[in-house]
Amino acid sequence: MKNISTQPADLRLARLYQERKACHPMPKQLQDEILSQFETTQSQPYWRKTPVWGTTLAACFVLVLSFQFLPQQQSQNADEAIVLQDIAKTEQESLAADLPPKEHATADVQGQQARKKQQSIPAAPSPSLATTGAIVVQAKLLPVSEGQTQRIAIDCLGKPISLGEHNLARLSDDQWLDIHFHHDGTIMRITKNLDFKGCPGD
Amino acid sequence: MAQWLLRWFKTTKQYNTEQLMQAFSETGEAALLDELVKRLGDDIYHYLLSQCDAATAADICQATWLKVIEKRQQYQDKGNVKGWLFTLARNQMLDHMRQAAHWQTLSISGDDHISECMERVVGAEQDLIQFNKMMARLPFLQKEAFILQQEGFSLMQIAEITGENLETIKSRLRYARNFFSQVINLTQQEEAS
Repeated sequence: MKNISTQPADLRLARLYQERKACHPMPKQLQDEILSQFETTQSQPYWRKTPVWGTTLAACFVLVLSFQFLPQQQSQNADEAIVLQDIAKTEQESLAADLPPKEHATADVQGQQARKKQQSIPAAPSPSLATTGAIVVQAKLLPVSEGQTQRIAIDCLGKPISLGEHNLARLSDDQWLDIHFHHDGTIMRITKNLDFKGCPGD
Repeated sequence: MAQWLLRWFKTTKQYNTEQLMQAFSETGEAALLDELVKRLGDDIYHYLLSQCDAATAADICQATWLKVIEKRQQYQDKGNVKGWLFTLARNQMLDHMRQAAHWQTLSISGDDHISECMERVVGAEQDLIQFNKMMARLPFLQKEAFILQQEGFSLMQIAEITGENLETIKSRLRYARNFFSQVINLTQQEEAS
């Protein structure tokens, strides 16, 4: 519905309006200018006039930014690993304290244990392990007599982890366990110098 | 598909403005834009010239067509290219006026410019000159509604373009009609005598 009445007065108004409009056409110069501006836009590099390219560039920018933040994240992982290691170290010390009295019989043995314990705890996790998400804690166990078994239990991030009873017969003075943890505190694997039978979480 | 449409448009003249705009949005062909400007350029320019001075109208007109070029890929065929263009032009004009902060002065000076031009036209009828003077005195919003009606838009379309409700548009048009009826009746009486 165009809503223009056919009454004489309205028709006359419409005629006057059209006459007025006809007297003022759009200047040719302006028309040419619009077209030349359009040509300029068209001649711009493809990546500037196509929205898809703009989006792709923006995505690349975000990607680059995220890579920039990655080392910071890795550093956070390393810090986390150190904290976890400290907890494990504390637990390791308490484990040593909980051993049967006969194991701590002489001062010489205790001194030897302390020395070995110190040796067994690494200063910091290696960067390669930190970046792959693994944490290694070396748990030094005391030597036991032939045929004896020992229950190994550690507390990691407030969560008790039982390694079960194992035959430690062949564990000599300079041997220790390498317990590899995941970041969530679960054990990834236990390695080194121990004939380990049925490691839970392995 | 787009290429086929383009060839078809070039070989035949049996196409409407909506099809033309649709093809332009798909192909970005300069010839189609040229045709669009030829068809609708005068309407847009006159609308702007009625509300602004000549230099501002030319600037806004150019900005409007650049907006068309820029947004051509977002154009969706709603069957009303002219309405879309007028909406773009109006938005551009309002933005410009807000920035310039001279809403009222522009609406008057623009029509003064037209009246002066009209008087210079050889053989211009007296009632046309009178009509232009009346246009110059018509308030901005009423004039806008009147122009859009004369451009063939329905009441609903005018309401959409201006963002007003239907009753407001009716009221503005009634005001404009009463306003012009004075001059029309006057000239008719003069002709009769």
